[in-house]
Amino acid sequence: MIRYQNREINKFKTISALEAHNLVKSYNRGADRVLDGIDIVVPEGCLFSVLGSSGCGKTTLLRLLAGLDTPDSGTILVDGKVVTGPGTFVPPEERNIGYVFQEFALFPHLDVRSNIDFGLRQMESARRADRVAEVMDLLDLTDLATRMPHSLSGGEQQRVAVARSIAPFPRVLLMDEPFSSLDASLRQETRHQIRRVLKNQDITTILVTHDQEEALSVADTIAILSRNGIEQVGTPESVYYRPASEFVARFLGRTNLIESVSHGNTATTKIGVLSIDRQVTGNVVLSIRPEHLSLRKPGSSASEVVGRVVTREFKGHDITFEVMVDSTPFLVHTDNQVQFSPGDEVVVYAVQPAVVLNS
Amino acid sequence: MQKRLFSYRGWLVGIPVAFVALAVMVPILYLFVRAFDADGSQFIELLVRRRSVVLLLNTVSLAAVVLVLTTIIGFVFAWLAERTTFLSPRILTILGVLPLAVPGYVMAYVMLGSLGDYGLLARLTGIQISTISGFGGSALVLTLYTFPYMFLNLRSGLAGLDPALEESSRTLGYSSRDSLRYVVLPQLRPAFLAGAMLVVLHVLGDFGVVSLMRFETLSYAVFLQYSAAFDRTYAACLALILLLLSGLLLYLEFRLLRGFSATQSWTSPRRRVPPKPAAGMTVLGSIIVGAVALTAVCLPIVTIAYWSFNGTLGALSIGRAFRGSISAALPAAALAGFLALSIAYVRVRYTSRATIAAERIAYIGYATPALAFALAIIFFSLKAVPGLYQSMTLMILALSVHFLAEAIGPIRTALLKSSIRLEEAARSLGRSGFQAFREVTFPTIRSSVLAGTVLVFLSVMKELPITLLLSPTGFRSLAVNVWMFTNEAQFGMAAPFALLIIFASGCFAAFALRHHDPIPKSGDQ
Repeated sequence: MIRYQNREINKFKTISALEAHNLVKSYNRGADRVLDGIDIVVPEGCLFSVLGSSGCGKTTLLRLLAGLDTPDSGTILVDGKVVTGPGTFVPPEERNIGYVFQEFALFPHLDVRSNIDFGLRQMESARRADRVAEVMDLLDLTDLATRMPHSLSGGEQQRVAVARSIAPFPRVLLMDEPFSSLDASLRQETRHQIRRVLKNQDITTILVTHDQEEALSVADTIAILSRNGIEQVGTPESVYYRPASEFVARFLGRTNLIESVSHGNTATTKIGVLSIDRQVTGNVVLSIRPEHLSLRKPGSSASEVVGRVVTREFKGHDITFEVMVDSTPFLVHTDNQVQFSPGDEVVVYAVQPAVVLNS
Repeated sequence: MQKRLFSYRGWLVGIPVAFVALAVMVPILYLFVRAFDADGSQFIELLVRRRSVVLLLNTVSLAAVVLVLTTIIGFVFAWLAERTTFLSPRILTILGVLPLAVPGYVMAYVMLGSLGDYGLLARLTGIQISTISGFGGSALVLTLYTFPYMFLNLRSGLAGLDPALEESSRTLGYSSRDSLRYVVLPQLRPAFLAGAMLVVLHVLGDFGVVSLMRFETLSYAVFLQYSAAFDRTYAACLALILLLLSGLLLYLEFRLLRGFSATQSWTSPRRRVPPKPAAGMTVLGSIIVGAVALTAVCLPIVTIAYWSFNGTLGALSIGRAFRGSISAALPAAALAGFLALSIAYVRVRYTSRATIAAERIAYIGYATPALAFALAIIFFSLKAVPGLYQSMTLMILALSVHFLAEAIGPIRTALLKSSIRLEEAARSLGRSGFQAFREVTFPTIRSSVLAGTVLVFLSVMKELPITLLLSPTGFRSLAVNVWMFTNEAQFGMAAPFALLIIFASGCFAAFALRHHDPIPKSGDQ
């Protein structure tokens, strides 16, 4: 597990490297609307992740940003200059936006060095060779310089694809599910290597993925995209701990969604009165992560709501319990010191305030 | 892997492979025997005779000019059909394939019958364009007749490109024109080489066009030497030069293709590049498409219609010739389809020196000039199995072995795309090797096997020299009649046979198109 220090959002300069406003894109003459009024603002130097399930238009969004497709309407700005907008369309080769394709799309007729060199033809030749060497070094490709793409492993192809895209100093780098075709063990390692390189080179990056763990562990900022548009934008911690909607709460890992009646700073629920993260009155749905709940033995108090442990899943460093309270299941994530067995009577209590979801 | 070759399934493919190897190699070896019939010094003298050099130059320059022209026309057609909204891809495909239904000597008939000395134009207006024959006429007709091979190869090459490659190049700062040059064209190399191979082989082996156009290439000279002068040794010697030329070509293709990863270039992409307006290609495209439509479609219709109404036709001889053509083409195509499947299968699944050699031999059979091939088979059958001489069986065997390579191409491509993992999955689900092939692999390559077989059928329907030399006494085919009457400038007599050939081949070209459409359906996201 990677622990997150509070990443300094403030260090990003105020100007945004890339902005998109009200992007609309549909296929089949308007029949299938894939993107319906998308807005994003990506600060300079940020590693911005767009997280969404498949079919929500992530790839379409990237293609529009890169200029590989045109939107039905909407505006895209790079460094405050319109590159796509009413009456304006800058072709992809003039945008200086790098793109790492899901299947890497390495040129099969060129070796690794020539693939990386491909985008550098505007550079003077001395600098060009230096840059190729530098990028190959950054991504541990020096030994593979003369290999052909088809002889490379998936992870190597991936690194070549990234090297090729960052070599010409792109203003923004777009990555489409870059790690999805790698196997799990390779994925984590490659992810960290590439994150390090992107930060080292200070490249503003938009990465789209359907893998929430990937987005949480890599990104500075996450935008959660659903079929209805962008649901929430924020740091990994904020979208995880303070989901704005039920969609986000469910999409980012397991959570307990609780019907409640709130009155100010507290809300009445099946497991008792919980404190909540903001002032609100009336019927609201709360989200509380399993690790923000814990268990104890029932005491003598009559007001206590007693539940029963249904399952216990030991996972080494922690334990997940499923507890039935008044025929409603609750997930509780505790450390491995908490000793209860299925059938035991327990009381569920919150260790953190619950989050009020927008209805 | 190797061991499985010798299972019973191994025999099922082993026998056809051995058969093809023998059927091709024996006549070729015979050519050497014949050529060396003369003593050594005489052979050298024949080889470097001034006439041989002139013939060689004629042949090579004709092939070069036709290759350049077919590459331009084929690429423009392929690009317009695959990447632009210039015309519907369907119309372009039909236009680009239709000339296959007009065999070279029929096209030559059309040219001579319309613009030639005794043609339609001369008869109606008195204007004579005598340059329509000779080198120019041969190049023109051969280009019209062979560019579809280039078009089809380049188009499927374009369709097989992953759009992400071009998009990568765009995001790396290359304009669409530069992406074409640095990314698309290098990827099209295997497709171009395959097309170029077919085009040049057709030119080298062509007899019908050059004989009617009276342009002496090696092939035509072999025929003249054999039928008119009856100097069999010099005929064999010329055929040998032609053979070496074809051999050089095969070797070159092999060298050029080496190091190119087939697996990378033939994976079928999920997306297709969306067609755009033709832009810079509009003018050139209009000229080329217009010219092709005019000469390959309108001119034949007008000419044949004119001569049909100005000739005397005998219904009886038409029926006889039609039956003759079909009775040769159907069995030859079926046999070739089966042989091609065997050879392509061992070539792709059990790649080894032996299987590569088997495929090469099939190509050699195709590259061997049809006339020389037919001659050699005549002499060999006279010596070895006299009973087969001038029989339908011998002619059908010769035709199917000769045209085998046309069927191997599409089948091999399809087999390369059809992963061996599928077959292995079927094995793991309890199928025997043969069952796995029948239930999994064959269905995925069926349309390509069909396409290959149809190509052979078309070729046999149009075939002239082998039929001319090997047919049983009294056998008449549509092709032989067209050639004989055109040769004597009896355009009216030739017209109905030409019409029937075009009609029959046209039907099958349309059939082939409907059942083998490599254009991926759009609807990507």
